[in-house]
Amino acid sequence: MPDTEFHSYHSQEKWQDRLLQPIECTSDNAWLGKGYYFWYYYEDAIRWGRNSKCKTGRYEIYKALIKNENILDTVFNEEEYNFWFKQIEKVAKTIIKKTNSRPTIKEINEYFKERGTWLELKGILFQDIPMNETILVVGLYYKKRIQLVLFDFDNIIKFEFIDEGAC
Amino acid sequence: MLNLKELEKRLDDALAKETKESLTSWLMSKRFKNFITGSGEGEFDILLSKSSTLSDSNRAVVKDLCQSAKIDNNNRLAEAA
Repeated sequence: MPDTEFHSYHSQEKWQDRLLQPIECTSDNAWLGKGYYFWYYYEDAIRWGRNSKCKTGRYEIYKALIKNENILDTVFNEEEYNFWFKQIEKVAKTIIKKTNSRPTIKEINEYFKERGTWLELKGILFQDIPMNETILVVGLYYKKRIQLVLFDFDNIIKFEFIDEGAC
Repeated sequence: MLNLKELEKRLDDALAKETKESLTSWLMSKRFKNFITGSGEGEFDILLSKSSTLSDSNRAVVKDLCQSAKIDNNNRLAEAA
């Protein structure tokens, strides 16, 4: 991800008013904790909207222009990927050793922010579970399903509605 | 650009300072808050059995958490009224 800016896509239910900014995901099971989640590929945003943003029967897709600064790229950057998984294992091993309890996704993410004080980290680009019905070869997950989490709005240059559809 | 060495150093420093007590307290406070968020209205009383393996400092943490949960719930009730 060498560009200084890149696009990514945010899926949400369609409500009466258009969004002016992404909605924060606060689920305990969100891969990288509380944050604003985006899809790297437009087709993944569509799939997510169709399958998981159905409360109102219709979904919307927003396109964001993201400033690539202080974002940990664990997908395309080998050094950052190696760094990331090493830190996760280090924290998890310490928690298990000292408390005899395995940390949850939420706890690992909060440890980095709160105890590691990684406050300058603005977001993480990461590879989601590689299941994807849009792949053309049965069982060969040659195309990564990539998500971006941002921890605040600082890196969002532009955020605009681009599409909607029925669930 | 992120300074990975600096991030790692800060994390290593934090991990090096952790004790069984500090990490258990931190984890307990996370899990307790999570439990409170998903529970209903009311108050909490601490009920620890005599055979509890909690250390004195972690008993104190649980007491504090119960107290703050009580305050939070009272605030919630006041806001709802």
